[in-house]
Amino acid sequence: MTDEEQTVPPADPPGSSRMTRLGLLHRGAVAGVTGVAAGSLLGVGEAKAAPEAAPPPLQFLTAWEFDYVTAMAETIWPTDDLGPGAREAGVGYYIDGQLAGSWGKGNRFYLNGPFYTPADTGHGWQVPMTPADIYRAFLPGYDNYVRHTYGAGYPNLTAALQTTAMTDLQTGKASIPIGGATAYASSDFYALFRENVLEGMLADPSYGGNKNMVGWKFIGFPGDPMRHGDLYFEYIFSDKAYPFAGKPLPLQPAYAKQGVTAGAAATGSKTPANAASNKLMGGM
Amino acid sequence: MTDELDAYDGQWVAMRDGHVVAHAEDEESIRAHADVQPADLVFPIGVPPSGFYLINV
Amino acid sequence: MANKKVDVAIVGAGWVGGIIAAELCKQGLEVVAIERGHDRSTAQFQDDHDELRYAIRNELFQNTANETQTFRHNLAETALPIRQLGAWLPGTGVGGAGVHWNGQTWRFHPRDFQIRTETIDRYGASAIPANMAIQDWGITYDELEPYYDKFEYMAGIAGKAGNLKGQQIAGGNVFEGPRSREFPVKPPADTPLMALFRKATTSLGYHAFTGPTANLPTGYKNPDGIERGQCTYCGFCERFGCEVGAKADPTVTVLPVAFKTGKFKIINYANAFQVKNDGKTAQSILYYDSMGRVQEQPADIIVLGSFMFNNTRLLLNSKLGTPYDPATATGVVGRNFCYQAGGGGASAWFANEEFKRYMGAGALSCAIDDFNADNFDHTGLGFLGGGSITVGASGARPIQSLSVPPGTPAFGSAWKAAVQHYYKRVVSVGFQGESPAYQMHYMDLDPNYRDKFGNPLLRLTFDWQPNERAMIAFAGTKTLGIMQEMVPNGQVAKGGPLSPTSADLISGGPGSLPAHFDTTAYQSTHITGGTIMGADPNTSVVNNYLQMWDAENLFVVGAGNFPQNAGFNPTGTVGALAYRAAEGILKYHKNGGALV
Repeated sequence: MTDEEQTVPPADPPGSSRMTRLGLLHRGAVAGVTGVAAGSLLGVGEAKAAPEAAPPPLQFLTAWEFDYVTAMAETIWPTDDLGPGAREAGVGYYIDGQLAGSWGKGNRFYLNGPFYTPADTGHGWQVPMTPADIYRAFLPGYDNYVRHTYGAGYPNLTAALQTTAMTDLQTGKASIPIGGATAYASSDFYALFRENVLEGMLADPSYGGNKNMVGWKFIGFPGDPMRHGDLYFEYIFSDKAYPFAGKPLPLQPAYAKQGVTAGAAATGSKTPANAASNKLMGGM
Repeated sequence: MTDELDAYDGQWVAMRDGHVVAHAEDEESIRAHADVQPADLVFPIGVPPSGFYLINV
Repeated sequence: MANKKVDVAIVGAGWVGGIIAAELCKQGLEVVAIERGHDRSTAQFQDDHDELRYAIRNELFQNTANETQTFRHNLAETALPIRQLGAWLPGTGVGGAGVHWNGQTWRFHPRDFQIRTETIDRYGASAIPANMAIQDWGITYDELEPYYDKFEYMAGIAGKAGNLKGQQIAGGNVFEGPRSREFPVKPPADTPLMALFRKATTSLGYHAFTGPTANLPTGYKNPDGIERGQCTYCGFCERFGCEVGAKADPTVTVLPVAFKTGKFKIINYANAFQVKNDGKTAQSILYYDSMGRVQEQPADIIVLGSFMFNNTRLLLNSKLGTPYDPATATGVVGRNFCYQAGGGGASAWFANEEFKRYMGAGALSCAIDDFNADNFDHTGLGFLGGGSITVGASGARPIQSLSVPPGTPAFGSAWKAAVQHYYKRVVSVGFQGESPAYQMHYMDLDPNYRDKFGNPLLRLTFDWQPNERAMIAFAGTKTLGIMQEMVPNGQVAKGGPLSPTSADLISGGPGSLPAHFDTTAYQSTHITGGTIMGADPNTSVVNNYLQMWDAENLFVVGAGNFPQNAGFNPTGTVGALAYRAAEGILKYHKNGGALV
């Protein structure tokens, strides 16, 4: 027999989220983040971003697809008087990274056959394709639809026509034949794409979007509370304003430096992991 | 087995023993519907605007 | 060649496996847990405030590429696989779903355990729809109370009793069953939103109380000597592991106790697929090791403590117990598959008032129980059951927490403006509804789809029924009433869209469920049934010690034991059942035989 207790966990498969994140960091795709990580703990959200780095190489999308996706993302979350949009936030790079990574490759999707067109609603994803497959197959079909209907490719349409073309996806009016007539509708792509844009605006900047935390600053999300000293408990039960709401900080990648050792929980350590904050609460 | 309801998405229905006896655009109309009896179950069909669960608000 | 035989082998190292292992090891038994995932501890969660990785890409959950369920809405349909996680998020790895839960820790009502008897007593047999298969649990609340108590003191549940030894206490849940003693930890304070809900519900004559929580508001040392620190209210709770161990989970409570005895071992990367048996006695657990090789763990007593889907699938794959047949309502394994009904909530979008929504703890909530279970008179309502109503502060991670009033465009500048304005200004009152059992809702082995090892997937047959639709419609009117009291100047949508104005806006009214159950929208991971408990071997898989009627040395434990689901989160009851099972296993280990 083989006792598996000592087995080393299998390495992350190529393209897993961890690999993707590290890959992005190594390639300097997130200049804002590396700038922040190098700064001091407080107030770095306001620090000047590093000089604009050259755009990172695309990992999955072609240049044409990238322009398409970026223009479409800009329709979802546009640049306007209120603040920057998806283009400035790097949503195209975020989506590129996701499609190149484990999610795009269908990790965690059950893709065994047979495949059927559902008889009724509520069954979700029922096509033998990964998200990356869907993007690759859908965009040319959509481009064809947009050119025929509105006379030019999406990136070259006026903002008003882009909104109309996006609405055609939302309502399912644009008929894009992939995965059968109903197994994958254009409204499904719309829902997927819109979700990806939200992620690209609001996920941690290390994933390539939300550049300089523009998404977080826009809505007032403070990012990782641990970076400001984990002070929420002083504010949550009162009307007192949290001073760092508009000064978000991203995840600090090498975080595990709080005196918590790997075996603490497994061995029932006597020292609570958050002993420090307990002391703070002692006076309250 | 209850009746297929996909066709009533966004509408109100009245059901009796698992069968749709009437449908209408809103609560007032369904309750006023001639085919609806007091004991029928009356409810709207569709994804609620407030979502299912707290996390989605 | 098989592994060394042990006293007890358990499938799964979550709450059930952890509790049972701790209790048995303390008594000197040798216990092995067969766990498909990896080891986990707080050390792994130090950098987990990452919404994308954990909450969207599902880092801590069962990998559906390896194993999922198939789903159909009725017996005539061909079931289709659930190809990515949606409605529910089963866990995997040491600690199970107990690592990524929110921590809302309830006791079910005395009525829930005797639902059929009490419903007939109060409303007559004709009040139960013909195909509704609700049944009593074979155990009463009073019998289960000591085990609830044990779970709560082990986990350090914070709350205020609403019923101490029969004495109702204002400020606690006055609808709950009698407690033998007060909660081990005092409840957390109110956030401004909780205070608003408490004031509104109180002025409506309801009975508000702080939701019982496994997120420690203060440090706590439990009877096993395990000390844990308090919650930091970081807002990353459900779908995440707790980096400070303030959320009770098996890895910071029961598993360390089991390990400390030196009698406990977890075999990781071990996928149990069958219980070897002779039809009367369980002999060993067969599992695939990390190389996909079949291994065998023999034991005197075997416990199935994995997630309810897997407990049912293991019995079916092992040909243990009679599979349920929905056509005749006979057989037991797989019957009474139940869920929960949401969709009865109400939301408000304030013009000015802001809340620090990004702060929170998974179970930080204020609740009322006035419209749950049979706490209100159902005469003339046309439906049975109800649900708990809560306002929670569980943390608004941004990707999943953008909410704009109905009628707002779904994208573009107008939407973007609403997103910015309302991120901190939306509040919601939620309803968690009961899911009764039905003759046609069950689980069996799918004829078409297989997991990565080639074993059949579990097939689920389930849909929303008229009773729940009527219940949800009713619930929505109640949550709307509460919201109107909370937001007195709120404009309520009457069928038409709401557009952002300078006024406070409310969306609510009769709640609804989709035309068919939607496997893609997260609702809750509170799925129950399949290995239900009861007093009659013809209608249940296990007795009230969770001992299998058909194999006395096999105990099957978890939410699969619920004959139908209640209007509360299930973990408190799962924990109580695990302690009950541990006691039964010790009795069986000593004397053998049927415990009931």
